[in-house]
Formats: sequence, structure tokens, C-alpha cells
Amino acid sequence: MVDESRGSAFSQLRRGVLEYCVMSALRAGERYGYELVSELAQADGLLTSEGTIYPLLGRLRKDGSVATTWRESASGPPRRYYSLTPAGQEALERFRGEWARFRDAVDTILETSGERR
Amino acid sequence: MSASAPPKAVRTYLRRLDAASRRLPRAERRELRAQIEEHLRAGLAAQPTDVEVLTLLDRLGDPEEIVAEQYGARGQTPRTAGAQEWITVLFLLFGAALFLVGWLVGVVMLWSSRAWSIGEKLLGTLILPGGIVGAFFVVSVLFVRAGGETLCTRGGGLLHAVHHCTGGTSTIDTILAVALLAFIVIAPIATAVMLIRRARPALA
Repeated sequence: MVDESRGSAFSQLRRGVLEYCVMSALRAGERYGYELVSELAQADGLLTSEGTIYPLLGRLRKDGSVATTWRESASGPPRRYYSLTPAGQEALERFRGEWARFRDAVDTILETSGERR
Repeated sequence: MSASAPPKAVRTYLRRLDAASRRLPRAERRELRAQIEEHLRAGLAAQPTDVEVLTLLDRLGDPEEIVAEQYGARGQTPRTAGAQEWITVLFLLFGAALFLVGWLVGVVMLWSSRAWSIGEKLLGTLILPGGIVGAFFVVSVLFVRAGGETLCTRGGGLLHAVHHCTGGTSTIDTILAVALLAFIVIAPIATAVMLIRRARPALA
């Protein structure tokens, strides 16, 4: 029971943070799905499964942080490319500042309470 | 993968995705499927080996997990038909017994609900007005009418009733009329089953 709720709390945390990782990966320029997912999958421990990025991209598109455009591909049918919108850029910048503070605070707590024991 | 038919494992995977995402709003379901299909197309060579296919699918993760994430991203859990949807459907089916008012209540509840699409609401309203009570009403009217006419003939069973109502004398007319009667009775039940099965969470 305790383990279960911890697991779900962590997956909530992961989901919340992952959103910004996706946006951050798009800062360098637009990507198509497979490209973006492969890139994020290289960071160890970030994704539980690659497919779960797609629901997230759908939601970011819906709330206006990410836009999609179709581009012809050399092989096969057109692909949808994802890009960061100005609103997404703004949200990402805000998150970067907050995240740095949050991460430092958590690290400090985790480290100092360890030392006292 | 683009030229030849998709490998069997891919087809199985997409079928599982369809089954798992059945209760998502249509637009989300389509977008998700298109995204996954694109991923598979981009990730597989024209003639992929079994290992390549299985590795790619494995990395994508269970379709059920992806759909669960879609629900998670919407902050909602999958919801099947709840009390309100059941009451709506029961009113549509049997409400006409209350001087037709019950059926109208059902229609109002149907149209004010967010659990169904416009098309489903149209079906729920038009097939058939009055629900199962309406169906019995139609059938009994046919009986009475035929009953009056069958005084001079023998019997008075449903077939005769149909016979007289349609004014037809050929077997084909009779078959058509029986099919019509069957439709009148089965259609509202089928619509009710469809409404219960397709009731889904409102858009966030």
C-alpha cells in the first residue's frame, strides 16, 4: 500500500517533469516523433516506455505549448513535426528557474539529513 | 514497412492499441493511433527483421500503458457508463410507459449529457422514438387493426396481422413485414446497448 502510493507519486513527478524535458528537446528546433522519442530515450531513467511520450505531446499540442506541422519525408508519407511555440518557450523558461531552486532544495535536504544521522 | 504489408506483430500491437483506447474521445484516439503508426513507420526499415520489429515494439511499451498515460495526461481515469447514463438509457427504453413524458425526460438527459457524441445522440433519439414501449405500442396497434379485419378470416396471429396491415398477399410482403416488426423491437434495444457501451468521460 505504501509502496504503491510512493510509486504513483513518483510517476506523477516524472510526468510533470517529462513535459518540460520534451519542450526542452524541441528548443533546438522542430523534430518528428520518432526522432524526438529516440533522443529522449538516450537519457537513462527518464522514460518508462517510449510510447508514453505521445499522449504527452498530444496534451502539449492541445494546451498550445507545442505546435505540429506536416512535412514531406524522403521515404513514405508525410510526417508530423513538433515545434515549441512562444507560449511553450515561456513556460519552459519559468520551469527552468523553478526547477533549479527546487532541485537544489531537495538535494540540500537529502544530503544534510543524511549527515546528521 | 511502407511498401509491403505491416508485420504481424505490428498489426497485433495496433489492434491492442485500438482495443485499449476504445473509450477515449474520438479525436484523441485517432491522434494517438496516427502518432504510433508514424513512429513505427519511421523506426522500421522496408523489410524489417523480426528482431527489429520486436525491439521497436518493446521499447514503445504496452499499448495499454500508453493509453493509461493518455488518461493520466487528461487527469482522468477511464469511466464506463455511470448511474446517470444508465438512468438516461432506461428512460429512453421504458419511459414512454409514463404517458410519453418519461421518454422525453430521457431525450433531454441524453442531449444534455457529455458522455455521447452528436451522432450517438441522434441515434438514441431517432431509433426508435418511444423506445421498447413505443415498439410494443406499434405492434399492438397492428394487432388491433388486423383483428378487426380478420373477423371474416380465420386466426389472428401476428403473421395474419402483418398480412392485413400491409395489405400484401405475397410471401415476400409477409417476410418484409416480419422483418420490419423485428427491426421495430430489436432496434431500440440495440441502440440502448450501444449507448451504454459507448458512454465515455466528458472532454476535459
